[in-house]
Amino acid sequence: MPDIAITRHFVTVGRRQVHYRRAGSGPPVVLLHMSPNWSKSLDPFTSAYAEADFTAIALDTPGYGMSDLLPIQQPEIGDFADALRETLDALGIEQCGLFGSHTGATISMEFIRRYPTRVTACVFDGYPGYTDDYRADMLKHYLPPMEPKWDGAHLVTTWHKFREQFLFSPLFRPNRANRTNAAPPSPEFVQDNILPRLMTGENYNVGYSAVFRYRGIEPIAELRVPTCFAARHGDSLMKSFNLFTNLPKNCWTQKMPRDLTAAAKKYARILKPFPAKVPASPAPRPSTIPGKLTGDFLSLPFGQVMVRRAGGSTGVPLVVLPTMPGSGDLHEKELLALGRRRPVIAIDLPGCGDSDGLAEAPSVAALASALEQIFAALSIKRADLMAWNGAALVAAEFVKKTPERVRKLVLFAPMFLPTATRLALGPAYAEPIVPRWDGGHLLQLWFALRNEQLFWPWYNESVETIRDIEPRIEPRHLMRRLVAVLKQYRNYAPVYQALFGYAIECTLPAIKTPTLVTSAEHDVFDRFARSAARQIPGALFSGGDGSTASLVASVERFLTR
Amino acid sequence: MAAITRHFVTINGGRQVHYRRAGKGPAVVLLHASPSSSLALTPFIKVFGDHVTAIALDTPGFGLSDPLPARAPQIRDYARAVAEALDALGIKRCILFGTHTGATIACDFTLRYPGRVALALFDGYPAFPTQERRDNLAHYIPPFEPTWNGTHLTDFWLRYREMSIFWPWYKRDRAHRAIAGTWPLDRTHAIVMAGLLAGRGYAKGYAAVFRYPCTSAFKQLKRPACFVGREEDSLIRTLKELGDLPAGSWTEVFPKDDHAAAQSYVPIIKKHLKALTPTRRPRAAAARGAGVTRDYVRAGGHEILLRQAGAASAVPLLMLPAAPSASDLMNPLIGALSASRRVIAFDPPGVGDSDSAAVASVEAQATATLALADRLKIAAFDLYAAGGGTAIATAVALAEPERVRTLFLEGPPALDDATRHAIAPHYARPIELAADGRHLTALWEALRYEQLYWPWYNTQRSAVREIEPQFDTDQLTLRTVGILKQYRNFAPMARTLLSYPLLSRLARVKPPMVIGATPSDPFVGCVDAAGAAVTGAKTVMLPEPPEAKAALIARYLS
Repeated sequence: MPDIAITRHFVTVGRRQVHYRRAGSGPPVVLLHMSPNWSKSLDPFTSAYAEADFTAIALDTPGYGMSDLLPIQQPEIGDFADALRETLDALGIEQCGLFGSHTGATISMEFIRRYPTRVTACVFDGYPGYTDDYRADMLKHYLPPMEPKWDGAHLVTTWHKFREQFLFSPLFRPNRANRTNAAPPSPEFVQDNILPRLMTGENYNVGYSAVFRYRGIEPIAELRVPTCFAARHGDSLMKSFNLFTNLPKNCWTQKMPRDLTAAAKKYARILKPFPAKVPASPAPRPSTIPGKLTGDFLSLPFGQVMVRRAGGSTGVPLVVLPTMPGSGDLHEKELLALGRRRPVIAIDLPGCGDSDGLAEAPSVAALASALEQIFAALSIKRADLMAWNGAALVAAEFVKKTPERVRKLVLFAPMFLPTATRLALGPAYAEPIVPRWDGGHLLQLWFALRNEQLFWPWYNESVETIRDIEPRIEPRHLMRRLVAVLKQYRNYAPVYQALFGYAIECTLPAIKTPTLVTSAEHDVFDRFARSAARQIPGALFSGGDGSTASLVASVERFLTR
Repeated sequence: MAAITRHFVTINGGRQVHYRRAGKGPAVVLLHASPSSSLALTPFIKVFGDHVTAIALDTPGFGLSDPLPARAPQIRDYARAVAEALDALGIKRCILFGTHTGATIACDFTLRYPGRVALALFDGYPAFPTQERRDNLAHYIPPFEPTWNGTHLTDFWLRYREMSIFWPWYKRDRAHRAIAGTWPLDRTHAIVMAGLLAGRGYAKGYAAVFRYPCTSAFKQLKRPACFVGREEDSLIRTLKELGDLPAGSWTEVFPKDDHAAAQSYVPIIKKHLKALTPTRRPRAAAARGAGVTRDYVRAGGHEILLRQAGAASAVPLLMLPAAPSASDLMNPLIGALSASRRVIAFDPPGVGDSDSAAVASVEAQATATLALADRLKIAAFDLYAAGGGTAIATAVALAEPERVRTLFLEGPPALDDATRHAIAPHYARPIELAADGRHLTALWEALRYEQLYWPWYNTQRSAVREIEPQFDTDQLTLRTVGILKQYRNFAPMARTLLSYPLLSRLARVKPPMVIGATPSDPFVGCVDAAGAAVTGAKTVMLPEPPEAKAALIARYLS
C-alpha cells in the first residue's frame, strides 16, 4: 500500500498563523509535538493515524516550527491550551482525538481539563510527570538562553545538545546514573531534527519553560476523558510512570516498543475505539492578515509551493522571487512596504525555502517552467515580477519565454555575471552541505554566508578581495539566512550549480519588458548591478542608499509610472 | 641557514623560560607578540642567526614559559622578567627586538635598563590611544572558560582569525576593517596554540599591554630605537600616530613577508654590534627547587622535551606518555613518583613539545628512547608507559631487556589481532585545519566519546561503556592542546602505535611487568588479557584520583 501523502498547510487564527501537516481522511486526530520540535517530527505517527482511517492533523505549537508566537509575554500552558481551542475552531474541528508528546502532552492535559467535550480520547507519548524539585532544577539549568553568537558557537552547541540527549538524561548531568540506553542518531537524523531548533531560535524555551512551571501531576485525578499514559522504551519520561498513582478508572499506562513504526501503529490503535462523530472538513484557506506576511501552500503536480502574501487583492499583483537559495521571509520588510499599494506574492521557487523540489535536478529552465505553472495555479494572467540575486536568472528566462505574463520587471542585485567570472566561480562557490557527526558543517555554512559580506568571492581572503562595505554580519540576520538555506540543505550546491551554469548573457539582450535594476552596497552581487542594467535594452538603474525605504521608493516610482 | 635549537633556563630555582636560539656571536634578543610564542619568530631567528646569536624568549605565560605568579602583572613585571632571563643566560647587553606587544615590553625594558640595550627594534609598536586601550581592556580579552562541548577552543580560533578581518576583533564594522588578507591556516594555528597554552592566563599579557601608556612611554627612550611598520600589518597606522620621536629614534617601513622583513633588519643590526660580547653556549636548565623541571636534550638525532623531578637515584624512572597524547598531563604523576627517586618523563619524537619528526616505526621510537637514556647516562631504569606509548616501552624492553628493571604499562591496547586490525586505522581521525575551526570541536568530541563508547566512534548500544565518565573540561583541554601541538602526526602515529602487535610481543618481554588501568581508561578491557599473556605479570586496578593512582604505581615500582 503506498504511503498516504502528508500535506502542509497554514490556517489563520486571528492575527496569527498556525502551520500544520495533514494526512488521511475520516474522524480528526490532532497531534502535538514535543519542544523544541515541530509537526514534521511526528510524521511516523501522522502516517500511522492516516493509515488507521483518521484525518491526522499535526500542529506546530505557537512559537515553534512555522507557527507564529502567541502575543503573550510569558505564555503558560493554559494559554497554549486556549490557543489550541482557537486553532481547532478556525479549522472547524469541534471534537477530535488527541495525541500529545512531552510538551504536547502537557498542553493536551490542560486542554482536556478546560474543554473536555472537545476531546473523545487522548494518548500521551511521554507525559512530563515531574516532582516539584525536578521542575525547579530544570527551570534553573535546562534552559539557558540560546542567543546567536557572532562565531556560530550556538549552532555547534545546539547540535551537541540534541545529540547529548540520547546519551544522558538530564543532559546537563552527565554521570553514570543518568546514562540512557539510546544510541546517538546519524548526522542526517540530527540535521533534520535540529532544523526546528534553529527555526525557533531564541524562543526555544517558551513552551519548554511553561511545561516546567506547570503542576502536571494534579490534573490527572480529574481526567474525564479516556486517556492512555504511554511512553516508548528509550524515552526518559518512562520513569514518570511511577508518579501516576492517581489514575482515574478510564485511564491507564502502557509501555510502547522502542521501534518508532511499531509504536506508531500501536498509538493509532489506542484511539481507534474513540472516533470523533464528525469527519474532518477540508483544510480551510488561510485568510490574509493585514500588515503581516501571510503564508499559504499551493498544490502543484510536483508538490507544494510556499507563497507569502502581503497587501490587498486589487491592482496588478507583484510576484516576488526571493534570493536563491533562500525564502520569502528574508525580504519581509520590502514585501510589506510594497504591499501597501498592491497585492504582493512572494514565491519560494521549487527546491528553495519551504517549497518542494522538482523531480529533476534544478535548472533555470525548469524553474521558469514551474513558475508558469505557479502563475496558473494562482490564476494570474499578468503581473509585475520582482526577483532577487539568483532568482533574477529565473525571472529573465521566464520573461524571455512568456513575455506576455510580465508587465514590468524589477531586478534586485541580479546575479548577472560576466561569462569569465561565472565560469571561474562556479566550481568553488557553493560547497555541498554534508551533515558531519560533529556538526562542523554548520560552522562551515555560517562562515561561508558571513564571508560573503567580507570578501569577494567569499572564499578568497586576501587584501585585494576585501569588500569595503558596512558588513551585514549581525548574528540574527545571518541566522535567518542560514535557516532558509538549511531547510533545503541538499539543494544548496545544486541550486548554485544551476545558477552558475546558466548563460544569462544570451537572455538579456532579448528582454523587451520594461525593467528596473536596483541594488544596495551590501549585496553580494552589487558590483554587477550597473552593468546588468546596461545589458537589458531600455533598462533603468536606481542605486539607492541601501535602506528598505529607498529601495521601495524606486520600485514604487517605477511600477506606478 | 642557521639551525634553531630549543632550550629552557630556570630563574632562581623557580619559574622556567623557554627560548629558541640560532647562530653565534653577540646576542639579538627577540620578544614575540601576544598571544604568540618564539615559534612565530622563526624567520627572524633563522635570518638573524646567520649574523649574530638570535635568542627568542617565550614571554612568561606564553609558549612554554611558566607564567608570572602575580594575578595582574604589569609591563614592568614582564620587563623585569626579561632582565632575569638575560641574567640567567649571561647576557649583559644586547640588541633587543620586539614585535607588537613584545615591542611594548622591549620599550619598557629599554627605559628601565638602558645600559643593557645597544639598539631597540620595534616591529609594529602598538601606540594605542587611551580610549582604545580602555575599550580593549573591557572587550578584547574575554575570559577563557572551558565549555562542556569544546566551543571555548573554536571561539579562541575564530577570534584570532577575526583579528585579521577587524581591528580590534570585537568592532565588527567598516571603520575597523583590517586592510589585510586572513592568515594562512598554519599561521592561525600557531598563534592560537600560543594562546591555548596559556589557558586561563592568556589575558594577563594583553591586559598589561592595554594598561601601559604606550603613546607616551617611548618618548623617554635614551637609546637608539627603530620603529618599523610592516606592510598590511594592522599596526602600520600607528607609525603615523607616534608623533615626535626622541633623539636617536627613526622609522622604517618593511615588507609584509617576515623573511623579507628580517633581511631588511640585518644591515641595521650589523651597525650596532660594537661593544657587544659573544654569547655563552647554551647550558642545561638548572633544576627547580620544587616541582617538575623541563628541558630539551638532543639525543639520537632528535630534540626531546624532558620533564624531570626528584633527586638522583640508582635506578631512575623513565616515563612515556599515552602517545599521541603528550606528557603535559603527567606533571601530577611525575611529582608524586619523584618523592624517592629521579623521574624523567619525555615526549617521544613527533609528540607534544619534542621535535616534529615524521612518525617513525615503533622500533625507531624505541631506539630514540634508548639513545635518550644513553645521553642522560642512565644505564638501567624502570619504564612506565600509557596507552599508545606502551608499544614503544615494550619494544624498548625487547631491544635491551637488561636495562629495564621493571615495566609498568597503564592502559595498554593489548588487542587480539582481529580487533587490532579493525581499529588501528580508524581510531584517530586525521586533523585537518579548517578556517571555521571545526577541526577543534571534532577532536574534542572524539576525546570525550572515549568515555562513552568503545571504540569511541562505535556509537551502538552494544558499545556503551558502563563507567563513570571523566569529563573534566580542564583535563580534556590539556589533552586536546597536547595533541594539537603535533596535529599532523596524530592520526599516523596512533595508527602506527595501535598496529603494533602488543599482545604477542608482551609475551616475549623478559623484565618483570605490572599492568594496570583506571576504570575510565579506554583500554581497561585489555588489562586481563595482557596479564594472562605474560608469565609472572602483576595486574592492578588503578584508582581514578591522580594522587591515589600515583601512590599505587609508586608502591608497585619500589
